[in-house]
Amino acid sequence: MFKRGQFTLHDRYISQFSPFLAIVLDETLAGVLALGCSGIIKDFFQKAPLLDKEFYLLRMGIFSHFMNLRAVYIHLGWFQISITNLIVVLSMLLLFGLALVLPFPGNNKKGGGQK
Amino acid sequence: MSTDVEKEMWTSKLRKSWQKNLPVEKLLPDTQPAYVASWIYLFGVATLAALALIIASGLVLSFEGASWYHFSRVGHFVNSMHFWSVQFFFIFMVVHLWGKFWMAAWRGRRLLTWITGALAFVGSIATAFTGYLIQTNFDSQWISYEAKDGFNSVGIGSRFNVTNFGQMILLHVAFLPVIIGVITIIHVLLVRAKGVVPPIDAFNKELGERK
Repeated sequence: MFKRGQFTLHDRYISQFSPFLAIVLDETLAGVLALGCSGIIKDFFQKAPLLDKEFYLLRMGIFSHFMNLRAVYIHLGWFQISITNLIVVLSMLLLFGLALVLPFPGNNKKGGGQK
Repeated sequence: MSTDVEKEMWTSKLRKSWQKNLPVEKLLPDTQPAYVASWIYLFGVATLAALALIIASGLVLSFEGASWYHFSRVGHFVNSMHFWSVQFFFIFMVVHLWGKFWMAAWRGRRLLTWITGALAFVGSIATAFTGYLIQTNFDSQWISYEAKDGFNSVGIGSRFNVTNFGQMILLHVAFLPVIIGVITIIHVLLVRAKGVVPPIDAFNKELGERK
C-alpha cells in the first residue's frame, strides 16, 4: 500500500506541503529546547556527546528534518497521492463537514436568528 | 435643459445605477438573514483574511529582498508566514467553493458572482505558481525548468517564459496581484449587491419561488 518513490528535488518540493501539524510540533520542540536552556535539558545536551547530524537535528528541529525527506506515496491501482497532500485534502473535507454540522454560536433555529 | 444633458452623461448613469443596485445600506449592512448564522458562510471572509495576510507579508518580503528572507530569522518568519497564508488561503477558498457549489450559489441572478469567484480561483493558482518560481532557491530552479517544457509544448513558452526571473517576479508582485485584487473587489461588491445566497430549501420556503 505504501510506496516510497525515488528521491528527487520534486519530492522535496512536494514536502513543502507537509501538514501544519509538523510545523506546530517543530515549533513546540524549539520552544521546549529554548525553555530548557537553563535547566535539566541544557545540562543533558551539554553532557551528551553530540554528533554533527544530531546537533543539526536539534538546531533545525526534528520535524523540519523529516519534512526534507523523500515523500511517501499511497498507491492504489491508478490512484497515487502523497501522504502530505492526502492529509491536506482530508483536512479540508473534515473542515467542510464540521462547518455543516457544528452549531453556530448564538444561532437560535426556533427564533430564526437575526432579522 | 440641463437636466436632459445630465441624463445623457455616463457619470450620471453610473451614479444612478450604483445607487439603485448597491445603496450604502447594502454595501455596509448591519444585519444578515437568519440562514447566514452557519460556519459554512464564514469561509469567504476567512479567505479574504488570508489574502490580507498574504499581501501584508508579501509587501515586507518585497521591501527587504531575498538576501533578507533567506538568511535572517525574522526573514524566515515572514517568508513562512507568506507561505502558510497562501496554504490557508487555498484551503479556505476550496471549502468556500465546495459550500457554494453544493448550495448552487449561482441562483437568483448571481451567475456573475460565481464567475468572478472562479476567475479569482484560477488567477490565484497562476499567482501561486509564479510565487514558486521566484523563491530564488533550488525549488524554484527545478520547478521552472520542468514547467518550461509544459508551456513550450502548448506553444506559449515564448510569451510566458517561466525561466525568465524578471518576467515572473513582475507578474507575481505587480500584474497578478492587481488582477486578483480587482476581481476580488468586484466579487465582494456583487455579493453585497445580490445578497448572500440562501440555502436551497430556505430559498423556497421564504420566497416561495425558485430561480
